[in-house]
Amino acid sequence: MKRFAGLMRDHIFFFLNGQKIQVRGREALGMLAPFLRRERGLTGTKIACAHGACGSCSILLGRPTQSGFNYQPINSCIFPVFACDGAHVITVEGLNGPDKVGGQDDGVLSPVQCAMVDCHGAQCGFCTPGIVITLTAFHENRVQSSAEDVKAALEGNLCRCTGYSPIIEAGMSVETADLRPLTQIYPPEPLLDGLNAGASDAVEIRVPEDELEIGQHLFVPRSPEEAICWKVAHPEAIVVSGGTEVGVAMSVKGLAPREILSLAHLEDWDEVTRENDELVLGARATWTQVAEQVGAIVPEFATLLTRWGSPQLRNAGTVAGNIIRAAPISDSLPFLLACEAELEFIGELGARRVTVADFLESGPTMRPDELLRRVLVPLPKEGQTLRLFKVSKRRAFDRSIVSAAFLLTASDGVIEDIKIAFGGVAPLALRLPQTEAFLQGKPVNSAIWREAATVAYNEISPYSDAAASREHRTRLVANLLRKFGAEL
Amino acid sequence: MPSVGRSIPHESSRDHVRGRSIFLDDITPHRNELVVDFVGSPVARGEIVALDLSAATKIPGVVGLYTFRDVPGSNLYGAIFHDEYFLAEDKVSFQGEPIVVIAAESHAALHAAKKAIHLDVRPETPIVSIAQAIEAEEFIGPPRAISRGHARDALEKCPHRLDGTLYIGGQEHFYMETQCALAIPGENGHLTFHSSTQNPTETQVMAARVLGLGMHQVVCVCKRMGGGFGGKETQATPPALMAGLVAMKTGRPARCIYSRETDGRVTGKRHPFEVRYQIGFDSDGRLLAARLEFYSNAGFSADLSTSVFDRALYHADNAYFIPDIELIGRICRTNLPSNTAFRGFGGGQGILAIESIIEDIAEFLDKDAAEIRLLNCYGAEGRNQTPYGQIIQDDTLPLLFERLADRADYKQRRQAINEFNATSQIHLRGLSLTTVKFGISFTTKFLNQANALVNVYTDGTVQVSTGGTEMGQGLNTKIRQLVADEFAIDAANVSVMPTSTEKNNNTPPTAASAGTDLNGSAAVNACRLIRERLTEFAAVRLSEDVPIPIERIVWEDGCVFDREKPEQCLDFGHLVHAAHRERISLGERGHYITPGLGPSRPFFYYTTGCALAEVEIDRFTGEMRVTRADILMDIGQSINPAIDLGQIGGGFVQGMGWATCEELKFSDEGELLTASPSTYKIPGVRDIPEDFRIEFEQDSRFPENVRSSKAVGEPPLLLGLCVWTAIKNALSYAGPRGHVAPLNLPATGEEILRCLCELEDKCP
Repeated sequence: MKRFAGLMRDHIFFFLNGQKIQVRGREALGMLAPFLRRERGLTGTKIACAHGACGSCSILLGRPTQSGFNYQPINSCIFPVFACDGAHVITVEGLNGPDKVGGQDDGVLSPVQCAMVDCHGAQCGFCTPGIVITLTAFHENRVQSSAEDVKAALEGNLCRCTGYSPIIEAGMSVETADLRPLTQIYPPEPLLDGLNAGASDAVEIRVPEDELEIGQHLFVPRSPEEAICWKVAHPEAIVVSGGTEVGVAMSVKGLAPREILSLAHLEDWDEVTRENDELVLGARATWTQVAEQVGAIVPEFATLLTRWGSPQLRNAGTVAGNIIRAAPISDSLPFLLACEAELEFIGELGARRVTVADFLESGPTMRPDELLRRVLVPLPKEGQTLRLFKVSKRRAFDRSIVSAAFLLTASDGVIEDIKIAFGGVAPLALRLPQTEAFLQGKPVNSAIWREAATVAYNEISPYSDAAASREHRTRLVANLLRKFGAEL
Repeated sequence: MPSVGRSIPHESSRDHVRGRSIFLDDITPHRNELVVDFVGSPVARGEIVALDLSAATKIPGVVGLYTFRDVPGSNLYGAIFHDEYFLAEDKVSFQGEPIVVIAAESHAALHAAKKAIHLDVRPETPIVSIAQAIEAEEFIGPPRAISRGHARDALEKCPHRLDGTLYIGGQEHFYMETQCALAIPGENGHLTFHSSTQNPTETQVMAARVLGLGMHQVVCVCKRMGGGFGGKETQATPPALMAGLVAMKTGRPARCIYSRETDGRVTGKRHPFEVRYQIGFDSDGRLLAARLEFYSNAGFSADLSTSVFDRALYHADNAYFIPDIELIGRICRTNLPSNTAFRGFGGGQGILAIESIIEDIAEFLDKDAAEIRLLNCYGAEGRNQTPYGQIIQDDTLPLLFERLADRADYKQRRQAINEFNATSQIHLRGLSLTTVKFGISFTTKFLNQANALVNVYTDGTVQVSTGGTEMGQGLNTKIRQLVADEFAIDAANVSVMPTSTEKNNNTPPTAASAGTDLNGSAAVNACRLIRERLTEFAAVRLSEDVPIPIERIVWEDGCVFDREKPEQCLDFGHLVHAAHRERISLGERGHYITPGLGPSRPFFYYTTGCALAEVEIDRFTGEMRVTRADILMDIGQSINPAIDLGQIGGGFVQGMGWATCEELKFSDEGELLTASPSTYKIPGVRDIPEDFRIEFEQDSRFPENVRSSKAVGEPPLLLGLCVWTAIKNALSYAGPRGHVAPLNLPATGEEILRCLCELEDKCP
């Protein structure tokens, strides 16, 4: 096995409410929310679902930037402690500064907390800390806020008592003049200084097997070379990128992988750019980063992203996770299939490109030494129409029942070319080549989509699950074809 | 300034927003505390053929494994009937039914023990659906009925008649804090429970019964719940019993916190119902006769199912007079977790049935459903008696109905929707204005009582304790306001203390919307006894020679004075301090019973309201959004308008969740497929009405109740059903005229699309 060039740490460190802490051993491999509650006594962070599906456990994750920290809410119940390495974590107790975390109650409230009290935004109080965290992040760097903005920010926070109206009102009536930015409450310089030593080290934590639990081995590389090398040596390792999927398995199903390869520190794999006629998505870009950049490049995809998971999930989840897991309901795959995107893997032999269709066709598979590096999406050309659909039981913060992507080239009322991809209608997302072929050369009229639906019926194999029945999925395929036609 | 009537923030809100409020799992662990969990049945119905604990026992950190054989008292218990096993004996009757309780030093040991327990259950074919239970004649209790006149005969003579069946799904409570309890052993065999329960007395009674103790050896404390909604009325008991059993066996504190998935799987929910109906009416839409047959899915045991069922029958008329009516039905026993109380408590199922029927009549007669509703509202003598004999008095509903229709421009919007639906190829809109008349009181008479303990301290501050529990609804805030006003002091000088059976005994659950009515009244009664003594004392204290006549003593703004000499006032703190010196008692217990209840008057009064919802559905996907909702309610004089608004808005959204996106799916084997928050969807911030207007009548009063207020907890949830009727209305535009949309509840996108396809097929 190759030796690594860089230095190695056997622990992680991060700042928690302004205080530097080190975590080693099994604690580093657990989830952040129980760590905060049990090990640090910070019980303000609530665990209501442990699935990343309610937002009660929201905390602020401050990732270092050039100038300070970028604070975003994430679900701490499915966020591994090791992924906090080098960051600043602020919990509800820490919102008013490091000296207010514990001890005597001086009754000081932040403007967001004040608004929540004054607008009666808390009833039972269990979801409240998470909501205060979300609204605090929302108001950081913001002067004005519409109800629409506040709702978008709160999509990842469920509340069973209030019906949300008082919370939205609170979000809109925060005394912004009194707001102290988090960078003022926690000046970044001392934190950045404190994170400096060992910041470029890789992390390797080995936990020996004990009488109750298996041995575990975590590696957090600093370079692609280290990552690939370790992956080859540990072919069974679970690769964790954003952790929103593995985190649920670890939190709920008790998954305790023997070997974990975390990509948390391959920070520079997060580009979201336009290169010529292609959209380039770095594997480690979070969906929030994608959403911020992609609006100007592919507005239709940006719109779809607003229906995707929750802000907390988009702040943690990455491009790589959504694609490599290749869930039948992955929200990105129909879009990537319709646009005939390519995946770029890197491995021992260098880079390799494969189309998304081929990647899915074969399994989905990649070689043992490979990691997804980036995704290259040919952009819709002038005269092409791209439409993306997502149907879910709940409008926001829900997985797809069926998702669809259409890329149409038509001229003079005739379909020159169309690419159609669906998610949620087969074990993997897929293109519908027969339907596409049927439509080619046909006139654009309402009857044609109805006929296309009949063709599509033979290309799909929908299933029944907790979200929807096979019949519903079948109807949706036909109706989304019709809807696409009707809305042209 | 009086506190009552002001929008004082929730008394815990400042702690809530800073994460300082202590919920059960936030209580700092005791030094030697154990964690508790259980292993339950893998199947919904079967026989336990083998159970081997030997491997699990040997796991380091496992302190105890307990089965029904270890239960010191009675293993059989239940809220109304004792028909539930705390730990399964030889048979299992729902998936997840607890069989082995595990006590361990750590979560790791707990997980290891769960894996090491060998359990073999021989599965039998379970009964899952109402239809299966009817087929197998598996019922709980005898048939139930309320009737007036001769519905069968009358139906034959009606000019028009519609028959049908409506399927109503259940609903998961999804309180954010799952079921949980902490048991701490004490001296002399005592056990103290901290429980997230709406019913500390129930926990006390059941713990005493199952653990073989006297009630005097058990204390149950509830500081707060992270939501209850009925789900913690009876079903907070099992985790408490598990923790209690462990605490008793080991002598160590023990805590049991259900995971979200465990909670989803093993706890009961809102009862699914099937309603078969025959309705007779005339050409104006006047209801003449009705026969409704209700079947509820109770799950494996009775729990509160009989009371829930009764309330469904009591609300099957909703706000409408039906001369000849027969309401009958059965409670079905199935192999599901035992369905239980849920905000609305059967009332919603009764109301939905009649509201759905009215939508169908409107479609049938080609009339506006709102007209039919108004036409049928209870009215003057001869049309003012419910099927169960209660006279509707001072009914403001028709007035509310007309006011809301007017304020929300019902007629213009109906016109606009007619035009929109005639042209839009993509969307369909619907509009519906419905009513709710919700009976306030437990239908079990003895529960309509409460007690309160008020302690005044010598600095003029007050502590009050009642049997009422705080689950976010603001009960403690309202009680604080009520008590403050009785002594004319600032609410800041009143603390509402954690609920404990040590202070308040034999209490009813905090339920039936009556928390403030009962506990607030009891607290006021206690205060008045103290105040009476203090008034007499002040009359002496403020006089120069002979005591001042009592009626001249005024309590105002923290002071007590003689009306004729207001300048000589006694500050409340000084008054009580002096009274104490004179050995006058500054503590009191108040007791309250709801007046006037009887066989033909199950309810003290009704809380009424109307709601109007407008929805838009996507013709292709069945996706739905509520573009606007308006609510107008009569809640008497509000004790705290902000808290009541919170109850109304929150209840409405919870109700529309039940009606739309919340779907419980069970497999044929009786496994809940939607036990996880990834698959069970409560409304999120995007689902609420985009334009949401809530009002209540400002000048309404109900002097018979505490401070002229009315209960508010459950009724607004049922108003949320107008979203469902609005969807039904939108669907009515899709099919040919006269074809009723066969919509069931919940109206998920899938259900809406199913109906659209069915109606489309009927179109020529």
